[in-house]
Order: sequence, then C-alpha cells, then structure tokens
Amino acid sequence: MNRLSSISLNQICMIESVDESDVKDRLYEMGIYPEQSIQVIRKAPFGDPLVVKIGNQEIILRHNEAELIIIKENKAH
Amino acid sequence: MIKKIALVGNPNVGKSTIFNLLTGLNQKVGNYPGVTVDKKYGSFKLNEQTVEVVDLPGTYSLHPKTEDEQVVRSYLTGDSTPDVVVVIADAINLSRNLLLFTQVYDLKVPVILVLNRIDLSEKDNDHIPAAKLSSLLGGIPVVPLNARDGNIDSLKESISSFQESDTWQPFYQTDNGVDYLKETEARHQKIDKLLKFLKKDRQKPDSFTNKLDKVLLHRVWGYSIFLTILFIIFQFIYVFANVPMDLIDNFFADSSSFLAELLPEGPFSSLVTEGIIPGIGGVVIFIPQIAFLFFFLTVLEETGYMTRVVFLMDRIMRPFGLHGKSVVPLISGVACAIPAIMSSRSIDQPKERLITILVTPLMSCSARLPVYILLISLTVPDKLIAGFINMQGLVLFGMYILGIIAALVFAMVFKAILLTKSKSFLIMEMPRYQLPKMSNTLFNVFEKSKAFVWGAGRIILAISIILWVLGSYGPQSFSSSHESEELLPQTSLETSFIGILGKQIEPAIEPLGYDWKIGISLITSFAAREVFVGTMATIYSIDESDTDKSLMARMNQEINPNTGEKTYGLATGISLMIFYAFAMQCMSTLAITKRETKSWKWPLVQFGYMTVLAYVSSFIAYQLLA
Repeated sequence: MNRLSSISLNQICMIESVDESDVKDRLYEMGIYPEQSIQVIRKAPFGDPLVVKIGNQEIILRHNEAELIIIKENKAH
Repeated sequence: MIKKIALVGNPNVGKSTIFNLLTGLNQKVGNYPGVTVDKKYGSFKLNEQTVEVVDLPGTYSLHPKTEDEQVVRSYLTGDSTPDVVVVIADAINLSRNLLLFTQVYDLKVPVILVLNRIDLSEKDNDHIPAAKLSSLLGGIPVVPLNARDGNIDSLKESISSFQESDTWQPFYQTDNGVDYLKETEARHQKIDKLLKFLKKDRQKPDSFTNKLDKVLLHRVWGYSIFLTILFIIFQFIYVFANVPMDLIDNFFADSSSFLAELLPEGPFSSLVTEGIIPGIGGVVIFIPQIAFLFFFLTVLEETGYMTRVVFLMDRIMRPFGLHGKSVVPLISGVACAIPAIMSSRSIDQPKERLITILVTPLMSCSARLPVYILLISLTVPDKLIAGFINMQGLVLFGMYILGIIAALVFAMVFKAILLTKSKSFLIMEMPRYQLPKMSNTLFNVFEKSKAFVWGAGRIILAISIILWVLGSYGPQSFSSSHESEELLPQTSLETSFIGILGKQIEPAIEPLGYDWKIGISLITSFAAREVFVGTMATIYSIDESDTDKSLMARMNQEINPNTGEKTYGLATGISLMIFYAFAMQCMSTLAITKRETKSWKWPLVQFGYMTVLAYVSSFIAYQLLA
C-alpha cells in the first residue's frame, strides 16, 4: 500500500483513501479526499514537513499527516 | 434595512483588510463567553445608517473542531443573528473556499458572497463571471473585488440593496446521522460540478513564488536568509525603539518633577509623582518595542514569508513540544516577552500555544541587558581567554544561550506534564508571495499596542501603586509619635515595608550569595527587571546624575561581613545574573499572559516555576563558585 509520505517528489498520484484520525475532517475540508490527484512538490530540509499540491492550492503537511493518505497504485499516467 | 453584518471566511483571504476598510478605526475587541477567542467588531455608516460589523475568526468550516469554529457556528446559529452574513472567498482558490460558503448558506441565513483577489485570478487567466455564479448559487449576490486596492464600494452597494431571496433551497440536504466526511466530500463534488463552467486553462503555477521558494526554502540559503532577516529586524528595533523610549522616559521623569514642585508636599504628591506617573510611564515605555516588533512581524506575515519560517522550523521545534509557529514568539522574546506572547495567537493548537507562552519569558529580553551589563562589569574580570575571546563578552553571550536552553528544556517539561486530548498537527496553506499592504500593517501595530495598554496596563498600574505604598511606608508611618494624624511617607527605602521585607528574606537568599540590599532590589524589580539598577542606586544613596560610574565604585567596595570578601564577587555576580535570567520579574508579562490565556492560573504557574528555577539554579551556581 502506497502512502503519500513515501511518494517521490513531483509524482502525480490519485488518492485512494484517508486513514481514520483526528485530522481527517480537516484534510477533507482542505480538499484532500479520495479520487483527487495530489502531488508532493517540496520537502523541508529535514524531509519533513512537505508541501503538497492539490488542485490549484499548495498545502503544508507533516510527514505524519502525509502518512494517513493512501495513494492508488501507480496508474496516474 | 441592514443593521448588522458578520464577516466569515477562510484564514488569509483578506477578511481583516475588508473589515478595516469598512470600519476604519471604529473597531473594538471584546470576548466571546467561555472561550479565549477575541471578538472583533466595529461599525460604519451606510446611507446615513449605522451598520454594525462583526469580524468572525477565520475558519475552514463550521464543523466545530476548534474554538474558532465553535465561535463562528454558535454566532451564526445563536439568538442575535446578523441581518446579512458576508462570506469572503479567495478567488484564486474558489473551489475550496466555497465549502465554507455552502455550509453558511445551508444555515438558511441571508448571505452575500465576496470574491476577493479577483485581480489575481484574472492574472491566472481564470475569469469568474459573477452573474453566472450568482444564478448557479440560487441568486445570492456575488461581489467580485480586490480589497487591496482599497475600494469596496461594490460591497457596500450590495449590502445597502440587499433583498432576502424567497427561493432558498438547501445546497446540500443534510440528513441527521449522515457522516460529516461523506457530507464534505459530497459538497466538494457538487461545488466542482458547479464550477465546471469555468475555463480550466490555468494550472500553471505562480512562477515567481516558485522561484523565490527555491531560494528561501533552501537547506542552506533558507536558514541563512532567515537568520539575516532576524538580525536586521533586531538591529532596527534596538536602534529605532531606543529614541522614543528615551523620550518617553524623560517625559515621565520631567512630568514627575514638574508636579512635585507644583503640588503641596505630602502623601498625595508622592503618590502622584512616585507611584502613578512612573506607573503609567512603565506601561507606555513598552509601546515603541511592541509597535516596532509588530510592524516587522506583520510585514513578514503579509508577504507570506512567515509561513515559510513555519515550514523551515517545524521539524526542529517539534522534539521540544513546540510548533513551527512557536519560532516567532520565542525569537521575539529576545526583544520583549510582551509582544512575543501576544504573537503566539497564530498557534492554533492550544497545548503548543500554552507551552510557548509559558517558556517565552525565559528568553533574555532587552530589560535584562542593563542588569547583566552592570553585574558583568562589576564581577567578571576583563580578561582575554585563549588570547582573543573577551571573558565579559563571553559571559554576556552565555546568558543569552542559557535563556534559550532553559526555554527549550522547560518546553519539554511542559510537554510531558500538560495533558491534552488533541494530537499535534500541521495542515496549513502555503500562500503566494505578495507585497505587504501598509495600511493593514499599521492597523495591526495600532491594535496590538492598544491591546497591551488596555489589557495589561491597568494591572501594571495597580501593582506599581502597591509597590509604591510598600516602598514609601513602613511601620513607623503608623506609630503615634507624629504630631499630625496624617501618614508620613518614609524618607528611606530601608525602613519601608519593602526594606523590612528585604531584610526578612535575607536568610532565604544568603545561600545564593545575596545580602538584604540585594533582597530589596529583588522585591522592587518584581515590577520590571531594569529597576534593579535604580534600586541599587537608591540604597547606596547615589546621586542620580552619574549613577553608573559611582554606583559601580560603591558596589565594588562593599564587603561581606561574614566572609570578609567582596560582596560582589564572581560567585554572587553569576548567581545574581542567573536569578535575573530565570525569575519572573516582569508584571507586564504576567498581565499579558493573563490576558492571552484568559485565566489567572497560567500567570501563577509561570511565576511559580520560574521563581523555583531561578532560586535553585542560583543556589547551585553560588555554591559551586563560592
């Protein structure tokens, strides 16, 4: 199972599902929910946090949050 | 007729810009019952009618997860609902912003939708036809505008001609029991479908922001530039805040002596000239630093750079129980803990915000500097170590490092002690870079300075007067030997209540290497640390004109009767500096902690742990060195 936290930089992927957690509501509100394409576009110097691009917006997430996001097996292209 | 409106929107959509443009300086800050969220409200004239405006906190939804969201939700569903809710959406991020809009709309309240930053979305080649959007959203008014150019007439017009629609239909039919996540997903999908008509030929990222981020978020350049910016800001604060601070200082000193001559001698004159006026002066003196610091912080915030600092620092701060957003308050604490604690507002996790507030006063603020300088030149030898390092400079540097280490260690302690249900997270938008808007910046500076004067000023003034009473009267004032019935102020600090208290605590502070004279100074510097120098001068009855030089000479001659050695030796000097580094000797900080946490509990905790820390560390330092 691929998670957003282990996806390489700039690879466009499709969200499969989001794990249960306290921040799931907030992720959904920010537009991070299944069937959306998402891309990690930047990592902070210590590899954490990350900047993801979803739609037209850039959002900062920690590695912990990115780990909750499950990515579909690579069929994006 | 519209009499009351509320502003709702996601964070950073320009909501406060619109609030400022509507109300000008006609704004107030109050409280919502039971929460720590400030209530911002104001009013403006529209066609000769006064319209009240409430600026609700920025939120991503009405689903009550945070205090902010609770406040917005209960305000919109409460008893005194506004006549119109103005939902402000960011035109360059319309689809996500419409989520909150549809939630508000479904409360069946009258709404106007503002599309702010319409100029940027045009630049993105992203035309949003307002009329079409309005008809798709059940005919509610849609007002495109660019608040940064200062013109919001179209919004005012829309408010004055507002007609409640009678064809309301829910955007999303909420069945009780339906999962909030399912609902959110369905709302997003419906919004996306609705926005299908918009041209989709954008998708090209803002190349300017991208290029700048390559440098500003670089592993080497990113941190170097951040440090350089901090360095420049502190240079500015020290250079520019000093001038008005001296002016304020002189002004209050002059007013005191002017009134002392004018008023008939007696307790009243003394109360005014030695209690009230210095008390007010003690509040006003902080305004330049607060104003300058907030000026720079707001500029960095407005440009979007502050979010980059959070991004760069988050990983480094986390092991200490702090957040990327804790960096700004901690660093600002080197100038002054008051604005630093006020700037902790941006941390939305309650636990991390509280830890930040509790440890920020451990950073060595500028008020400690005069104390350090006096004690270092008195007790630390002016020698070179290894041929090129000045020992006095090294000790001064060490004091700053000590403050940083203590703040981080105690952050870890509080992380372990304080229990919360909520886990820490970081989910925040990375904004585009933009030029700061000067009027917003000045508004913020004004607001913060005012909040300090009103919020903390009263407490500071009250404590100053209490300290004046304790410093001016002693048991002899109440003895019957006076001819008159009147209470006479004591002439010397030594025989006052504070003086007696200073002597009383001597056994307790002796193990730290202090005598009763230092004890008196410790008590008087509860108001503010820098009072130490002044109190020492009073005790040693030094003429005010050349305090520094002669005070140092007098203190240098002081002999400890028990040991026969100099009172101000290296051991006492270091012990005293450590005490000043750690002790909570700033009533203004306590007052602002009370204001920011809305409870007396946390300033008391802060006072307690810092006092214990100061005592124990000074004890250890003295015993090791003596």
